[in-house]
Amino acid sequence: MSFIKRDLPVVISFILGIIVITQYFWIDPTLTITSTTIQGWAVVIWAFMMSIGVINIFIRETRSIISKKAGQWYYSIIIVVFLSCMILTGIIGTTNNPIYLYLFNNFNIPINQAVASLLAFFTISAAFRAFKARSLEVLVLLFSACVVLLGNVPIGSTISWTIPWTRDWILNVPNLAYSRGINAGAALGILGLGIRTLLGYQRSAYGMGAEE
Amino acid sequence: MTEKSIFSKLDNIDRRILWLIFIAFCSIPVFYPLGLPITVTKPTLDLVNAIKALPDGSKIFFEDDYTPLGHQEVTPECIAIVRLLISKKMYIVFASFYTPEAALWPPYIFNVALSKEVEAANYKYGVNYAFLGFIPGGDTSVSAFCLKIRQVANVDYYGTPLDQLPIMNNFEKIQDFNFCVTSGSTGLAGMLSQMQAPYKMPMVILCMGNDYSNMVRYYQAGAIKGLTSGLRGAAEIEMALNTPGEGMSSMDIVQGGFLLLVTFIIIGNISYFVAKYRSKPLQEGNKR
Repeated sequence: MSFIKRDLPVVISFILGIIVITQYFWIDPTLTITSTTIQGWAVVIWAFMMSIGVINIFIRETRSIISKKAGQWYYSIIIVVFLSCMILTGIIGTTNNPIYLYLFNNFNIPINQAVASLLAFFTISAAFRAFKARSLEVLVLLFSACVVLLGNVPIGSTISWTIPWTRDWILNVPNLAYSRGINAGAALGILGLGIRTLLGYQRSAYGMGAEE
Repeated sequence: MTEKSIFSKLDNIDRRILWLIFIAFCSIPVFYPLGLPITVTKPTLDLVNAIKALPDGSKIFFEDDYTPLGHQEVTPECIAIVRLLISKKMYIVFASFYTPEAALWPPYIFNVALSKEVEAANYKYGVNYAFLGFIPGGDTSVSAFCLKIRQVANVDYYGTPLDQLPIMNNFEKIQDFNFCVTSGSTGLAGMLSQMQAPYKMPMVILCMGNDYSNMVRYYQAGAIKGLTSGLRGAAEIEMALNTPGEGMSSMDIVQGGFLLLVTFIIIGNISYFVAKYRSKPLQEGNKR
């Protein structure tokens, strides 16, 4: 039992992982076909994961409605009703169903955009009340922010040619240097994590605790 | 005391007043377009030139991956580029790998936003363009798609088998395409690592404004042929192609908003420093 629960997932991951990685470096028709088939399975598994996610939301929100969880149950009703509507209309008439499109165009898009628009209001009040040059570091940050903001819109170059020039310098020199450094570090981290997962040291990836 | 209270009041101004000023400032260009100048930056110009340089009738893979959150920013960019692709009689195949909702954008672009251009160019679905819809799996599905398209997509967005679409007879794997346009936010890194890097696929990126600083390094390194972002990107493409659209018409509002933001930062800091400077002698005086 412990082999099935503990070691088999690691063995399967190791074998499949090695096949996919090898295919990347070594061109062989059999290896390519095997790798493509494995990656095709991943797509099916991914689709299943989405279904599990939806079922999980249903169970969670239904429980919240039944137990009348304080401050949440009425939101749960909205989630369950709209989730059901989108799923049913999508299944019955595919995503080209006029009702599905109506719900998407008139609820999903405006709600998403309204949430995004709220950021503009918070940024505006933060710009006035919070972005204060209280130290030299903050002053540098503020200067960079103002230059990049103005340089991002064509009016910046109308005010002065130095604004887009400085903005490009900020983006292409300090920004690029730090982001490349961070990315190189992250890539090495991902590589290390991948090797640990394939070798079975990263137990949390298999739904097990580190101590198991 | 009166002077101090003015700056103190300004420093602690009710945020609702700021919001009202913001709404008013952004509303003016809606009714009275200001016609502020729009300049085309080099990454956008390179993007447009890279597509223009392709021979007519080239095969384009168009990946769109953005949620309704990015609709307002990225769709105008996509519309401007698709307009150019149609004018050059390109064969276009759309797919998304990271965002399920993204499958709805290509039908919107072709059936609503560019319906006149599509009709005028006599573009036919299944012959000149196709929508593969959402293919789940993220990076893994991009990788599998590159190796063998039908391994991960057997039917199109409408449920039609790919073998029944004449355009899809030309495509088995990613190397059958001449060029790739990647749009959105969520899939950019995956597309670069799974499609551009291994297959050296010529690629341009249409991203959201906040992704620009991350993506610019790929442009600098020459991994992508061109880059543009947000509504400004759409306006620049329209400017470069001389085809005014949603991007150019929205730029006054965007520019006004950005200008107001910077003005608020400056005023906020002036009031902060003046209030601080004036309160110092008082405090020192009190100590004495």
